[in-house]
Amino acid sequence: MNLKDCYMKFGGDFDEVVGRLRREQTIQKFVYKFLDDKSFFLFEASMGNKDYAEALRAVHTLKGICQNLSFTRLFESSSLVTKALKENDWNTAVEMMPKLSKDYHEIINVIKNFKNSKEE
Amino acid sequence: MTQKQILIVEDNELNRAMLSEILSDSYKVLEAENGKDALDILEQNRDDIHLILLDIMMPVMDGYTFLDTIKTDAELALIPVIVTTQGDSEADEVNALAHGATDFVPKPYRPQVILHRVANFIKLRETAAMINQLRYDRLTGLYTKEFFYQKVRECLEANPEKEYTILCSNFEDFKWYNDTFGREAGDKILREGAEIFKERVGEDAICCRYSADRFLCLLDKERETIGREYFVKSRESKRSSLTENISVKLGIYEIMDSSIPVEQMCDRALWVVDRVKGMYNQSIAVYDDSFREKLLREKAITDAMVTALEEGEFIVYLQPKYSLNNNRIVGAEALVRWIHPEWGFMFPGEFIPLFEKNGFISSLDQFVWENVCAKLQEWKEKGYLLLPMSVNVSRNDIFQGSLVDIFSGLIKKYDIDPQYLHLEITESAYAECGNRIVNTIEELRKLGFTIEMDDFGSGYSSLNLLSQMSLDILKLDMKLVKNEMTKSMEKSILNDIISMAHRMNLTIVAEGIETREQMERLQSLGCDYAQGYFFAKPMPITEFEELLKGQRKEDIL
Repeated sequence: MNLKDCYMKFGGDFDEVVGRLRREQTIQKFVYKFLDDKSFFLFEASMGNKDYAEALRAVHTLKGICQNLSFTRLFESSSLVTKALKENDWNTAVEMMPKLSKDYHEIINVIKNFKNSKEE
Repeated sequence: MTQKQILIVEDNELNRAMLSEILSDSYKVLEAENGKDALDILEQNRDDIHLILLDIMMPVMDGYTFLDTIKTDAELALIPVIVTTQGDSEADEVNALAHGATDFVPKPYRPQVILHRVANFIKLRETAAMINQLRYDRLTGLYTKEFFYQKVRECLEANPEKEYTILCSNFEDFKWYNDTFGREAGDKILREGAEIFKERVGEDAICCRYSADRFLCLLDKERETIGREYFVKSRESKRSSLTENISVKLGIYEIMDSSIPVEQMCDRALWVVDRVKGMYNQSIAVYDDSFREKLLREKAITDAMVTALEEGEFIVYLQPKYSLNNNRIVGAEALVRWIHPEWGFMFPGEFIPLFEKNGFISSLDQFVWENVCAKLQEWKEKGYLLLPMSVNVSRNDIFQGSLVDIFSGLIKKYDIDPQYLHLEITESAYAECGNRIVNTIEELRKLGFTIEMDDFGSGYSSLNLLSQMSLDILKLDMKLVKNEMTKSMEKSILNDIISMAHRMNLTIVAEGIETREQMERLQSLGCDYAQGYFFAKPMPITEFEELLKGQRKEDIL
């Protein structure tokens, strides 16, 4: 499996990201870095604490990262949550959380598998 | 060439790393996690940050607050700030621009776009900074001289029907202030001064910092006439340290003919302000025709001075000094007169102050010294009775530093005894020259010259000076003598001065004696010698020689 396969698997736009960042090695470096990014967990914890301002900041950041790395599917789900929180629509945001979580973990798993296969 | 520095302000590490990756080949990158950290970094690198890339949603201090904060700092506000947005909210972009952002870059990051945009803004800022440097004085924020000239020209051309005035303000004793309190305190005064100046002349006035402590301003003539006194008035607010230490002088040039070059108009305002420098009671001077004539006359004098010296137009006169004991001549003071082929006989009051200002006094003094020494040699060779001749030594002579060499050279060249050369140094020179004069005088006395303190009591009197300086003769200023005549003997100040001077083994000479009454009073006070029109006016050397012939050798002490 190569990086392009990963993108296909988790619903990303590999051609777009390559068009922008040019070098596959650079993309890979930042895709790996995404494994350490805390935005999603911060979002989850803040929602649990009903700290919607902090939750908005976290999901907004997550959305930005997805934009930069062309994680299309996760970008879409994080965009919807961001929009809901911006509009103070907490219920919708809560309803969308499972989908966001599913998309996030799917990406993380694909990346982890890819990273492991590379290291073997 | 040193790499330019960019500050990335972004709370998310991954986003920061991506921006850093894009920029680090071309720039040195500094990173901050929030607005507050960014402000700290800016404080430490305020002159070295060329551009800021800023995220908006951040913990601790968000991007909007950061933008609002740097706007309040004139220097930081000049740094271009590009805000990173998510590209899906026009409101965010508009908001960022409204808070002072220079531009924005939307996510996803497009490295080539970011690099070009960053490079363009840095270049633009540098060009703007260069233009600013040419237009604005860095310290005070007022216009620079050249830009001021341009703005004044434009204003006069655009409003030919209006009447304007050029003001020049000057801080009294600013050099002294700078020297005493340091450059930083001096700069503070200049900044404060500029602020007050600008505030007082009003928003419509065009102002610049012309040089160190001189500001120029073009303002409406009517406003200037109404506010003239107010412009130099001491500041009442305690906020300013200006009032305590510095007074402001004002030179005014009312523009009558706008075809005169602006530079010349400004020169006139600058000239008149010099007229009131150092004057306690006057703060304002206005340029008018009489001033112009005076200026032209001064210019003619300074233009003619060198030729006059070469052509022998300066003549040494001698004014005899008399003993109050026996009314006999005991010496003379050498004074200079100028007989110009066109202007005729000129009194020293007209040219000496000018020469003291432009330094020519030193050449003239040396001419007098040389003449007096040559005359002493001539009298010695002819077997005449020799009397000491006093010559003036000015402040400039002392600052030139080679006084001891010059006088030892002269006595050697003319083979005369130094006891016949008395050196008159003004009280003000004593007060101004400090240690330099103490050492010089010590050396001259060791060589055998007699030292006289001239104009004692003319304004700088300090009894402390008398104890510090090594002296032989004290010459009382004529004003002191005139004042004395208005007092009864019981209230006499001269009595005390003369007694004290005698206790210090000083000989006393009174200058400017014009009446018998003055002479008798000084006689009764025990003054040793006197000089003045009552005895004899300054005269050509030949007349002095005739006068001396009338006195028998054995009558003179």
